[in-house]
Amino acid sequence: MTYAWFPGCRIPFHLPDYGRQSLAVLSALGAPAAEMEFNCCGYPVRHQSLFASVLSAARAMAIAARAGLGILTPCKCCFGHLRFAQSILAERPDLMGAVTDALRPEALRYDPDLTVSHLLPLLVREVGLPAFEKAVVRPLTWIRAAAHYGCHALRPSQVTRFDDPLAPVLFENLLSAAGCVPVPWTLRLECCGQPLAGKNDRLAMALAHSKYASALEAGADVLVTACTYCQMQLGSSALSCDLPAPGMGQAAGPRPQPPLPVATVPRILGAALGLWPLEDRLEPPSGTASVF
Amino acid sequence: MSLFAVILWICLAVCLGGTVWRMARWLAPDRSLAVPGLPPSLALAALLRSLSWHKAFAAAPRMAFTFFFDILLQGHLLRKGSLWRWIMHFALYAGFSGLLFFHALENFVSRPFFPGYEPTLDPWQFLRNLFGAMVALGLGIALCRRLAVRDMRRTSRFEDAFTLGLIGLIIASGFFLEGAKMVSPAAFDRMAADYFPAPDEAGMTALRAYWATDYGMVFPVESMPREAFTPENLDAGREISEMSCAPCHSPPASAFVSAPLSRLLAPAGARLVDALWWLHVLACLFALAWLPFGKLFHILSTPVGLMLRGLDPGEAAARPDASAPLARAVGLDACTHCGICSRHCSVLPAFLALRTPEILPSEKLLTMRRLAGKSGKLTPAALAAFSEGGFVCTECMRCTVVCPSRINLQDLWLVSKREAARLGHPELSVRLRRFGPEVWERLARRKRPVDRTLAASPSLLDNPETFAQCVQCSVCTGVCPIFRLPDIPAAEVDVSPHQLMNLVRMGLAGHALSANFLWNCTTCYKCQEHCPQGIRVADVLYELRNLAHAKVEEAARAGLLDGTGMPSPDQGDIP
Repeated sequence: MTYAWFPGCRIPFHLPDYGRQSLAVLSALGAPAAEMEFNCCGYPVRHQSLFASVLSAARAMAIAARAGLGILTPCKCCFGHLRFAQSILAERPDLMGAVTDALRPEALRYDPDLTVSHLLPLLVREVGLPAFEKAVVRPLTWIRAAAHYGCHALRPSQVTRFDDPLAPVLFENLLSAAGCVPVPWTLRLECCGQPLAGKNDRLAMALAHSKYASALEAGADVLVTACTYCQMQLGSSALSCDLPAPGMGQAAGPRPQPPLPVATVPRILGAALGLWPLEDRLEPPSGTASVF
Repeated sequence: MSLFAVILWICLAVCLGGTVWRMARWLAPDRSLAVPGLPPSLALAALLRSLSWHKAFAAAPRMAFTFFFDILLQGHLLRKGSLWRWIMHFALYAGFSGLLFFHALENFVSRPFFPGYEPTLDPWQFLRNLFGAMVALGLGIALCRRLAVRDMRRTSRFEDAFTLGLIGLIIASGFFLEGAKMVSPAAFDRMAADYFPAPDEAGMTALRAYWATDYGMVFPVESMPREAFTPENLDAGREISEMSCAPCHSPPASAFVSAPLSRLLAPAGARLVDALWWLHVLACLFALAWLPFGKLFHILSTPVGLMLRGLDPGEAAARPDASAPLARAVGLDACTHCGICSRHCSVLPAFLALRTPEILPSEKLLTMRRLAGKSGKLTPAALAAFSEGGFVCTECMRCTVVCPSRINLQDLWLVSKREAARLGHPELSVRLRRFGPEVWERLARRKRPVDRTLAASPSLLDNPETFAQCVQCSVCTGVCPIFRLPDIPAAEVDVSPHQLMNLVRMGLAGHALSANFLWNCTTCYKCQEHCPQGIRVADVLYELRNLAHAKVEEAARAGLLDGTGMPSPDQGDIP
């Protein structure tokens, strides 16, 4: 399957490295994705309007279908929402009709059979773990990694068909292939809190802190994410804009550093593939192999 | 002073005054464009202080390149743009500049710098037609694009058509004026009286015959009998013409637009010379006076914006420096409303579904310009639309990348969200959570909102089967991440997911909408995944939020909400 690269809206401004590094890892593994212009997947307007969000998803999938490509995204919210749109369009003919009508003026056609994939299942199932292990030049054996699954890819499992929703292994297997030691941790399947950021910052931060605490308790050196929104929420915010949190009035100020490094999955995988060094906080203290 | 001079000076004064007024707003930007902690009036001082010789030298080559490539050659239209767009705008820009300098300002440019200049001599006569034809070509392409390209038709407003029409009027009246003069016997007689020494009746007849033949002049039949066109007369006429007229008059063929037009106009056109002259002059002077107040101001503001834009707009938006308010004010003025941003906008499908114009960047910018204009006060409805559009933006930065005027739109949108929140219009869901049951009760009495969200046929809420299986086992509440958080106010978890399901099952959607928990749900889907009865708990929560949005947007459109998004006090009971 050849894929069109669907970075999602948050990468160009908020997390440009995540996009660049994902593409670098993909081409290093011989699975490059085609870059093209897409619209938003519709996830951000889903609580405002089902129709607006499903129309957005259908239009993006129609653009990929026109190019004869599947969609590959590094964002679990994009992934989950595109899958959700596929499922609800199959379920509700009234919505399907409205979407078809709205796409017709642009000569776009929604294709119900389009392949929608995420970076993790692509690397694990299509590139394959043996092929990935073969490409690893620097196994990161000293790193104890806490895999943060992200809600919208995992659940609802009947819609997303990502992995076992109660006991997923995909992410840990990939990290093991890079040489890391995945740690089991209590809150690994829980929400990062991003959906409440800017709406109820107190709850959003409480959720994030509970995740940090759980990962630290399990002895993790790094929290690894595979979702734009999770990384924005949990990662050290590189973008402390002068904006107050909407609705809160006062300026949010620079966000505190997270208590442990939070890295996107291509950052870790690329380091294992020898594409770039890790950040200081993740290098072994002595510079030699594992200290654990 | 002649009437023309009076109008000219008034228009010049209006143009100058307006330009000073608008540029003053760059130097003292509105506080809505401020960087927190820094008065916007200090933006210029901060910019000047930040300049150093070292920086100036380092930036000089880039600035020079921007000036020659982007401003003089309009190369910025080619980046991320199309060739047609460049041809369209370059033809307009180059043609209009040529007409301005060599024709309108002939007494200041053409005459002093080009000895022997006469407007009716080649190459000037030819060039004037060429420049005019270039502008007409540009106008034609612009009009076709605005009419034929669906995405551009969507964002075209009255001012866009008005501006094209005004330029079209100037060019058309100019061509018709030149054509009318070419066939005007009155103009011929006046010139002949001035430049034909010692005219006699035979000489005049010969000259008339020659001009009627070779210069396309059209004389009334009574002064120009058919038998005057003898070869001898024509020869004599050519001799007189070469001596007295040719030094200032090239043959009309080089006026490749006006000359054919003159043949169309003849003979009635000759009487229109005065009217056409006034039409042409008044259209030009109106455009001059209107320049600072409409989109034509981009002639000044866009080049300034191009020079001010930094190398990394994302960085500038993420960490605005002290001079940011200045760049923001210039950026707002530099928009030409070309609509390119809206064609590429990531949330275009959301606009297609929701139809709030302010979702599209080109339209949101117009509202923001009014917001930042010191006189601009937005109505509550306009603010609500501005907020709704602003918060649909996903900050993907594509508009900033494609903008031909290279405005740092990303920076403006971040500011727009901040401003909307400051003015009491944060993201709608933040406002919705403050509504108590009494608001929803009153809104519930209104007819169900139909369009926009398709919440009219909520498959889950309307279907009793959705909740029939619920046994209130509270597994959903047990796995909810919000309910396991320590130290959060009890009000945040006023209703639990299983209670919410029961409320909806009992038809108490009004109570469900006012539950804080509905708005605190993170949509993590754990409830739905774990429900032993297979109830789509999270999907129901999403649908309730959709319903709340639809009800409130519908009430806002009907003018039933006041500036804070609450039901208007003067409305009393909402019907």
